[in-house]
Order: sequence, then structure tokens, then C-alpha cells
Amino acid sequence: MKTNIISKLRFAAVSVAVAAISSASMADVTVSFSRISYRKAMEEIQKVSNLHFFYNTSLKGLDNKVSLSVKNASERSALDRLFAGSQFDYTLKSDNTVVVYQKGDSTKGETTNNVKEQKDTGKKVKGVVTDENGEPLVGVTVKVKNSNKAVMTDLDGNYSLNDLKKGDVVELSYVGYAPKTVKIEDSGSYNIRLQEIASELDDVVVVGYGSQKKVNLTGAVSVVQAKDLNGRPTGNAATALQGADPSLNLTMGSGGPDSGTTLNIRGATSINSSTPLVLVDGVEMDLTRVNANDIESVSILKDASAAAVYGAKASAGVVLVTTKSGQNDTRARVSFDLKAGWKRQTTSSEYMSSGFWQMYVNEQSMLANSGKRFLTEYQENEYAQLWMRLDDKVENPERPWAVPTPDKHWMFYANYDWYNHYFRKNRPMQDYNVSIRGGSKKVNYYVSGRAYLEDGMFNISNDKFKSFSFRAKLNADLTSWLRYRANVSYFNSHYDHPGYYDLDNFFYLAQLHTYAAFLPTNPDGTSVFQFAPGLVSTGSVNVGGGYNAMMNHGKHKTVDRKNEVLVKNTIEIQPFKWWKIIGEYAYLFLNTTRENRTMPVPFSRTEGVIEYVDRDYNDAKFSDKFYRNMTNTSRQTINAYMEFTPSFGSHNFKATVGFNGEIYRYLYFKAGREDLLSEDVNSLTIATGNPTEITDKINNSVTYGYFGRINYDYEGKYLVEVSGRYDGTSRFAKHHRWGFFPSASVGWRFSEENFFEPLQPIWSNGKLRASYGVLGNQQVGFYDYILEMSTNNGNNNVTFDGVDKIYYAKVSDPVADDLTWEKVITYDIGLDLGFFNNRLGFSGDLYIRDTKDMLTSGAQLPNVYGAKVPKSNCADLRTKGFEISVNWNDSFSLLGSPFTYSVGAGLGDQITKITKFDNPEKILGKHYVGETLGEIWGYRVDGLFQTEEEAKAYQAQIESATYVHNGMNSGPDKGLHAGDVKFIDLNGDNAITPGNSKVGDSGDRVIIGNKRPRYNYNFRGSLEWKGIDISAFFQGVGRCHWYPMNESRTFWGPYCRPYMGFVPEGFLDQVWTEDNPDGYFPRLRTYEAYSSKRSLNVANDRYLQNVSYLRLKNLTVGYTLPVWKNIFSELRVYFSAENLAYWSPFKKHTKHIDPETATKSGVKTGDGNVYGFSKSFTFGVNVTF
Amino acid sequence: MLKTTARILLMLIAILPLGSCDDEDNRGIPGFSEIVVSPAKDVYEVGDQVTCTIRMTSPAGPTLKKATYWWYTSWWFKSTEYPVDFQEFNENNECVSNTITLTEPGDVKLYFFGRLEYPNYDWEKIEISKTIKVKGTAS
Repeated sequence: MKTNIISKLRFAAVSVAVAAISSASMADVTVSFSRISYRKAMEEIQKVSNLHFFYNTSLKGLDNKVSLSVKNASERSALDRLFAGSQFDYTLKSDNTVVVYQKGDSTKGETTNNVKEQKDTGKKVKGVVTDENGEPLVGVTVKVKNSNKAVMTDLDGNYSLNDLKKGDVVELSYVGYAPKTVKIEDSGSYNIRLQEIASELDDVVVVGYGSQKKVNLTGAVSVVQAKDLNGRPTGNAATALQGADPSLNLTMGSGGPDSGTTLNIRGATSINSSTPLVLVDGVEMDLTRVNANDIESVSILKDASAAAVYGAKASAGVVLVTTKSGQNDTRARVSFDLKAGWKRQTTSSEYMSSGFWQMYVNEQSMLANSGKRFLTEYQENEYAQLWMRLDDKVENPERPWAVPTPDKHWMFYANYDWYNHYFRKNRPMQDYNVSIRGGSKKVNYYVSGRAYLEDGMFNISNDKFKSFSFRAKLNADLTSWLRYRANVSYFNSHYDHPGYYDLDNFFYLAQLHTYAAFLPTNPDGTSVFQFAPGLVSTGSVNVGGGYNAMMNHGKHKTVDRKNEVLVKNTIEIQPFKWWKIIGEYAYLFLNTTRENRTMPVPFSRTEGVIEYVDRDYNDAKFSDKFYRNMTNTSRQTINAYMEFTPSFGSHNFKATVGFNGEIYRYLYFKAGREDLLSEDVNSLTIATGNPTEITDKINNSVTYGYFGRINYDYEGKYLVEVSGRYDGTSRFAKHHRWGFFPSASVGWRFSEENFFEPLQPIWSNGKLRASYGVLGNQQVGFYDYILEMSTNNGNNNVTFDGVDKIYYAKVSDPVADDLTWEKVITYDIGLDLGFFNNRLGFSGDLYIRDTKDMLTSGAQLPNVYGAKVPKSNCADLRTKGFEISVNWNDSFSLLGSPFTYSVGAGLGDQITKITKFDNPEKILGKHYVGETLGEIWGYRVDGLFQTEEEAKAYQAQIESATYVHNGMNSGPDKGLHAGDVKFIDLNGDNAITPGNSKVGDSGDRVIIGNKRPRYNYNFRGSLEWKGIDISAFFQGVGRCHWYPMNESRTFWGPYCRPYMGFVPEGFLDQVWTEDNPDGYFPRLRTYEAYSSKRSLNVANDRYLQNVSYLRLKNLTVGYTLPVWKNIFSELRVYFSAENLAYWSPFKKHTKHIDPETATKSGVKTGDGNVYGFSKSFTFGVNVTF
Repeated sequence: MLKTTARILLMLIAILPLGSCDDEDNRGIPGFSEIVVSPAKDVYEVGDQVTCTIRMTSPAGPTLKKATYWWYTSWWFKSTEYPVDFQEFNENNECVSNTITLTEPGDVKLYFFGRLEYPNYDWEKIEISKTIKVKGTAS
């Protein structure tokens, strides 16, 4: 409907003599006015009826005055009375169009339509001109090239031309749309679709509890359009949204098929949580469970003014997702988007698969550390065996990879690629979408469904992800004043993966001891886990941490299921055109379950002897156990609000007042039991052992808010918005629950001023915006203000019978009952500009966000207090930032066909500093006043010692008992050596120390980087020509640092531990030796990164990584086939790739870790041992009937 | 025109050998003769004892840090006679194996291996083999 109205308004603007206005109301007419012009009278009737007036603006008498007062009159009766005694007559058409014409006009206004058919003879063509959505376009100029013959389309988009010759070219032009030419071959129907390139200024933007024209916005709001999200080969809407706007920091999770994402708008809002409110059709939901193809638009409300009506939850901004709806008066359009392809890791999978070299590297690193071999039995003979097989990509029968020993064990001399044993390179994926959209005059509907299937990266025991989603929306105009809307969605996912409980454990452990020299299975088919004593190792070699045997066994399973249902009902009452009352009730229910089965798994190290991991080695990951845990989350949302839109001359108002309530309930239950009777049946009921765990947890919260907003504009030039919300939450104690949060914003469209008129041909739009607002942040624990009690039996010393430990209850740490809201105050100033008829657009914002009274531990209390310091509202921070975006859209004729293209770029940055924190001594490790969030403290390094003399001289000067070279006190040759890291004695005290770890007394440590991503940017481009469409979207981060943690196993390789399985190919090229003085890494020495106070373990600027990146996020190439137009309204084939390539300085040192996953935490903080990101390549087809 | 083309071709011919000079040449990898089996026979019997000899025909370059050489046969992985037979080159630039007892019939391969350790882990593998015919049944 929106498109219809806009089309008609456009028609009014461009047609030489026609004005058309439309209305959404219907049925009988009740209207009363006195002495207004006919022109105005027709507008008034349109407002209260479903009539559309259509007349030539040059009609005589339009400004004559008329009065009318009718109540529940029929449309014809009202019209008869209106025009009685006037100079006008009218024709009421079946589609409620009223064609008004001068009395006596024999054509009865037909010329008004400009569809008067040409009387000439020759070829006759006719058709309908529509927009991309199939909506008819009114007033499109249809002109025969090189002639004066031209017509315009009528209300239904129809046109007709006669007397054309074969080969004539018809040109179509329409403001805001790309021109198009059609070559005429013969008489017949030529239905033509135009591509919109209109300025975004006319767009209606969804804002809190309503919508606004983009030109009238005064708050900081960014909009992401459907075309940027739909059709992308991503698993869900969240991943499609990454990088779409520079203010939006979307951090991907582990990268697994079922992993989540973290959203953030404009950086840190609080040291506690900075998660924005995400609303899908007004209901708080998780974007990972939303089908990106269902999305119509996404509004990002960035400042307090825009987000104010959402109050307590909106302090970190709001993401408003609006899904597609049906369209009135359009036939059913059935669309299919089917694609299939494959995924691969974004990183290199080239690891050392040479048994000799991998064993050698690890062994040498161990020898340098302790002078001992780790694998004692791989002596010179074994190395010779490995060397002989160096080039054997497959087993040579004359020198096999597993050699039986006389005592029935095996020795291994393989060149085995363990990475590609565990993981597969190409993983198939399929994505099927169908939608049906349409509507009659009073009812419209949208129904969609999706099936997404993805095979994961695990090779032996494959992980599989499936998700299915469904959405149905219905809008019905029940009467002229009553509307009903229903919105139902369902999401189901199923992720079946091998391994112990959490996949992170796999990535943490599976590469341990998986030397390329070893094989995953013995020649008799049994799994390899440990070796016969003394045969391979003196130490404990657990190949793959047991995961190898586990994967081979194939019965360890974790199954995650999610089911989410949303039912939303909306009633809209519209007593008058300017007054709407809306009531909404939504119920969202999410159920998640996880089942996990573990059991002892068999392995062998002696021919004919089967042993079991766990039963024989007591590893809890391999106990015979079954867990089931489930969560039920329900969220009831109630919205009741009214919208007033009165206008008084040039003064336009819009007021919204209402209530929002949310009742949230979360239930968690987990039970586990040991010793099941079967390996194949997973149920607690067939377990014979005692329960290992029963956990039950419930969280409830209630939020109520009363909100109001007033928008005012004068002639569309001066814009004011004032809003506020009075919010209450159950998360605080009784007397601290309610808060009032006001905001205001103003805008000045200086391009609408008279003095600007001479600039209009070039500078077409200009608006200055400013806003101020206060919001509350309730993102704290559910019961932080209440003492909690729990039971335990963990105290071994307290028993009744000397055996059974007794249960006891304990209370939580003391709490402060005066906890209340964190307050977030935002100042924003923005500028929106348009040039060259808005083909070039610019938007920019500067902002400051102050967060006051952040919840954190209060002042340090004397030790006699005997408990933890209670939390209180006692810290502040300030975030400063900016965003800019530039877009260019244009179209021109190229070789007789319209060439439409657009380019755009965005950049955003912010920096956050602590402005209040109770840490007067500025102890590092805690927040302190002046701290920039994310800062990394570390040492400065002056390269590596290149000679023994240099190292000894340094050692003689610098105190040896250092905090950074602890390893120099152990090993075969103690002390510093050539190839070791040379730390700079910054404070000149002849020692390298962290000082007292305080600002100003930090020893030799200084700020060396910052781990928060800076300078988020994106740029995109697209073009269309002759049915070919190409689009590319790049996204990046300009600056971000990461210091690899001590368990960043893939990065450090043997510097972490001497038994890493995945040592990158080419690793040795980066290792310092006398022959390789420019080597990046120091001399090869294990545990240098893992053990504390060692040269790689302490953060320093030499090994600080720059994980900034530029990523080709999406590349799509499509072709719309010009065939079977009578069957398909669209038939397009395309190739689309996601995450196709990335560029990063980080690649210089490793191609095996994606810069975005490097900072992730798996089992250990910041270890980066996670699933990893994928790129996808898909081929698809869009079919619309 | 023809002259120019000929000149370019000549230049290319002159340059190509330079382009094909790789690190191996720069490192000075030693050259080796064929393996000589003593006593020499057309067909050996299971149970025969032989020795193998190889000669270094050109010396290694100065960048060679360490060299390790050994003998191996295609059936040794089944036996415990020699895991491998480490040997060094004598003053005559010859490397002679220990006595090898032929225990497997058929086409039997006798291998000479070398591991040449050059700087910066840029090592070189030497693998030279000779196949002899052995009659009889496995001992």
C-alpha cells in the first residue's frame, strides 16, 4: 500500500496536469467542512473514505468554495452533494477512482488518464509498468524513441501504444527509477518492470512504536535494507547483518553452525553489558533464529533520542527488525530462492604432515628447554626411519608407516595429515526458501518457509546442522476503523555433533600428541590412544586427548535442539484519520535441549588387547554417562499505545503515548546419570548408576514502562522530538525500581529554506540534527539485590557417619539493597546531506555517551569485614565516537540499456575511557580513572639477540632474576642466548619488571595496544545491466590488537607445548636461527609461550598481533533470464559467495587463524581454539510466479 | 625481424640455465655413483651374503653442516637384523654396508639413504636404490 501511495504522489509531482491522491480508508462517508476549496474538499473526503480523486489541475473552479456535511452517506451520495451546482461532473469507477472533469467535457476526463489510445494503424502494444515488487507505477512516461509519440501510465500502470513498427524502441522514464528501453518486435503485451533508484529520503523508517519519513528523523538512526540481507548464503540474520552499518559491532561466536553472535552499537555502554535491545516485529528475539530472507528492513537506533521510548533496555541502542508483510490489491506472488553450495574454512589447512619434520620440531623445542627428549624412543634410528619415508604421501609397502614389534606392539613412522583427518575441506550446504505474498483490498498475507541444511567440518563423525523456519503474517481491515494483524513464527534447529559436551574441548585437546608420525588406527583397525610403556615415550602420550579414539568409536554425541514459537496479535483502532490506538500481545516461547552421551572408548597398543579410555585411564570425559538439560524461556510482551497525527496548517504533530510490559520467565533443568545399559540408547531411565547432577534454576523478571513521544515539524523545515519513558524493573529492590528517562532532539532542514533555492540543482538536501537523552541500563543480574542461599555437600570434614558428607546451606556474598539503574546520557549531533538530486548522499554523526553509576564492586573494605565487597552504583565511563556514510546511486543508458549502479562506504569509530572508579592507586588489572577500555599493557622489545656476545652483555647489565626470562634459569644451557627476545629496560633500573603494576609505577610495561576493534568500515558496490547484476560488499576493522594467550596453541605451536599436532606448514621459516637472523619467532624453545614469566608469555610489542582486517563479505553475480515471461515474473540464476577472502597484517605470521576468531575464548580465555569461520560458495535460482 | 627473434632466442637459451639454477646447486649437493653389490651375481640365492658399496663422485658444498648415511633393504622392517645400517664414507670416498644376508626371494631393493643438513632447515634427502633378483624361499 505504501508503494501505491508513494507512486501516486509521485505521479502528482511529475505529471503535467494530473493530481492524484489516495487514501487507505473505506466504506461510507462521514465528513463535515465549511467553505473550503474543491481542491481541499476532495482531500478531506479522501481522508475519510476509500475514494481516490483524479483530476486535471488546470480545471476551472477548483479554488471555488464549497461546504458539505454528511453522516454515513454512501460514496455516490456524498459525491453528488459535493459537486451539485458546481462546474464539475464526475465518473466513479469500479476501483473507487473518481475522475473529475469539467461539465460538458465529452471525453468525461479520459484525456486526464493520458491513456488515450493512438488511432494510428500498425503494431499495437500495451502492458503494465510495475516496480520491483510488482506494484503498478502511475505516470511513467512511455515514449517511442525518435518520435513525439508518448503516453503515460494510468492508475493501474497500464499503457497502450499504436502504430509502431517492428524495431521501434520504447523508452520508459520515471523519477527515481532507472530508465529502460524495450525493442518492439510485434504487437502484443509488454509488461515492464522498473528498478528503483530513488533517494532514500522518501523512505519510511521504522522507529520505536511507529514509523517516520527519513527526512523527518532527528535522532541517529541507520537503516539496513532488505536487499542487503536477503538472499545471502548465511545461516541466519545475525551473520548477514555483520558490517552492514559502521555503528554496529557484530562479533561472531566460535564460527560453528550453531554458534551465536554478540551485537554492540557504538562500543561500550557499560563495563557490565553493552548489548543492544533487538526487537523483531516489536518482540525481543535472537537474530540467530530469524530468517534473513524474511527481513524487510532493519533500523538501528543509536542515540538516546531514537531509543528513548524503549527505556530500560535500550541504553546500548536498539535494533529494530521488521519482517515482510503482505500487500493489498496484489495477486499472490510465489517466490522460491533455492541455493546449494559448499563451505570451507576461511583459513589455511596446510599443516606439517611430515612425520620427520613435525617430530623433529617438537623434539628440538623440548631439548632446548630441558635438554631432554620428550619422546625418548625416537632416537637416531627412528629419525632415519622417518627420513626414509619423508616423501611418501601414501604408505610404501617396503617401509610401512606402522611397523610391528616383536612383542606385538607397533612403532609409527607415518606422514599423516591429522588436520585433514579430523576435518573435511568442503562441506555441503543447502538453503531452500519459499514465500507467498499478496492480498485483496482488505486483507493481505505473507507466508514464508525455509529449510537450511549444513554439514559441519568434522570428518570422521560428521556434525550436521539443520534449521527450519516458518512465518505467517496476516493483516485484515475488519472495518474502516478496525484492523487486525497476526504474526506467527516458528523456528526449529537441530545440531548433532560428536565429542564431549562442548566442542571447544575438542579444539583444545584433539591436536595434542597427534604427531604426523602417528596414525589414528593400528594396522588391526583399533584406535590409537597410548603406547606400550617405553616404546614411544616415557611421558604420558594421550593421542588427541582421547578424541581420536572417541571419534573412531563414533558414539559420543551431543545433540542441541531449539524450538521457538512466536504468536503476536495486534488490534489497531482508528477512530479518526489522525488518531490510532494500538494494542499488541506477543507470546514468545523458546525451548532448548541438549543431550550428551559419553562412554569409555576402546583403543589398543598391543595386538589383540583392547583397553578403554576412562575405564583404564580414569578420564571423566569418557565415563559412561548421559546428561539431558533443557531451558524453557517465555516472554510475554504487552504494548498498548496511541498515535495522534493532527496538522494545523503548516504545523504538523505526531504524538505517541503508551505502555509496554514484559514478563520474562526462564527455567533451567539438568539431570545426569551414570552407567547406562546400552551404548546406543540414550536415556536416563536405562541408567543404573547414581545421578551425577540434578540442577534446577528459575529466573523471573518483570519490566513495565510508560512512554510518550511528541514530534513536531513546521513546513518540514524545523523538526522537534521530545520523548520520555518511566520505567520499572523487578531487578532492583522495591524503592529503587522506577526511573524516568527523558530525551529531546531537534532538526533543521536548511535545504528547505528559501535562501537555499539557488543551490538546489546541486545541493538537494541538508539537515542538521542534535539530540540529548538519558536512558537507564538494567542489564544486571536478576537477583543482585537479594541474598541467595544454596546447598552443598562439598566439605569432606563434616560427616555424621564418618563416610557420607553432610549437606549444608550457605548464603551468598553480601549485597547492597540500594542498587539501581545505570544511567546512560547521550549527546549526538548529526548532518545529512544530499547532492545532485540526492544521487550523492552523506550522513555523519558525532556523539558522546556518558554512563553514570555503573554497577561494580564498591570501595575496598578492611579485611575484618570478612566477605566480598558488595556491588554498588559507583563507576562512570565516557564513550566518544563518530560515524560517516557516503552513497552514490545513478543510472544511465549504456548500449541502449539502462546501466544502474551504486557505491557506498561507511566508517565508524569510538573510544571509551573510565571517568570514575574506586581505584585511587590505579592498580593495573582493575579499572582506573583515565583507562581506555581494552588497553593492553606490555613490554617493549628491541628485536632478538643476534649473537651470544650480545646476549651475554645484556645479561650482565640486566638483573637476571627477571619477570620475562624465567626460562633462562633452566634448561641445558642456562642464561640468555642468541635468538632470545631482547626486552627494553624502559625505566633504566637494570631490570625488566612489571614494577608495582600501577599506573606510574608499571616497571618497564607501557600501553602497547588495544584489543577493542577500532575504525569499523564497509564499502559496497552494485550494478545492473541487461539482466546481469553484480554486487560486492566489503567489511573491515581498521585497528585491533591481540596478544596471543598462553594456550593459543595454533599460533604458538611448539612454543606453547612440545606435542602440538597442528604445526603450520612453513613454520620453520619464521624461526630464528643463526642462518635465519630475520626469523620472527625466537630460537625454538618450548613452553616459552605457555609457562608464566617467559619471553612469549608476557605481553610485548614484538608479538602483539594486529588483527585488523578487510573482508570480502559477499560477492553475488546474477543473471535474470529473459525467457518464459508468461510463466515467471522473475527467473534469475546467481552465484553468491560469503566471506570469500580477507586481507590482514595478521596473515604475515599465520594464515591458520582468522583474525576475527583469534580473540575468541574456547576452553581458556582468549585461546582462539574454536570452530573457526567459514566461507561459502553457493549457486542459486530465484523463481517468482 | 628474424635477426631480432634469433637474438631473443639466444638470450633465452643463455638465461634459461641460470633460471634453472636452484638452491640445490648453490648448496653443493654431493654426487654419488651407482650401488655396487658384492659379490656380483645375476641371480642371488636366499641365504647369500652381500655387501653394498657406493662412491661419492663429487663432494658436498661448504654450507653442508652435517651428513648422515645409512643402508636399508626392503624387508628389514620385518626383521630385527638392522633397523638401519648407519655407515660413513671412508678416505676413498666409499661407503660400504655391513654384510647383508638375503632372506627374502624375489626382486629385492637395496637402498642407500642420506640426510644432508644445510642451514635454515633446508635439508636434502638422498635415496639411491638397486634391485637384485633373489631365488629360493624365505628363510
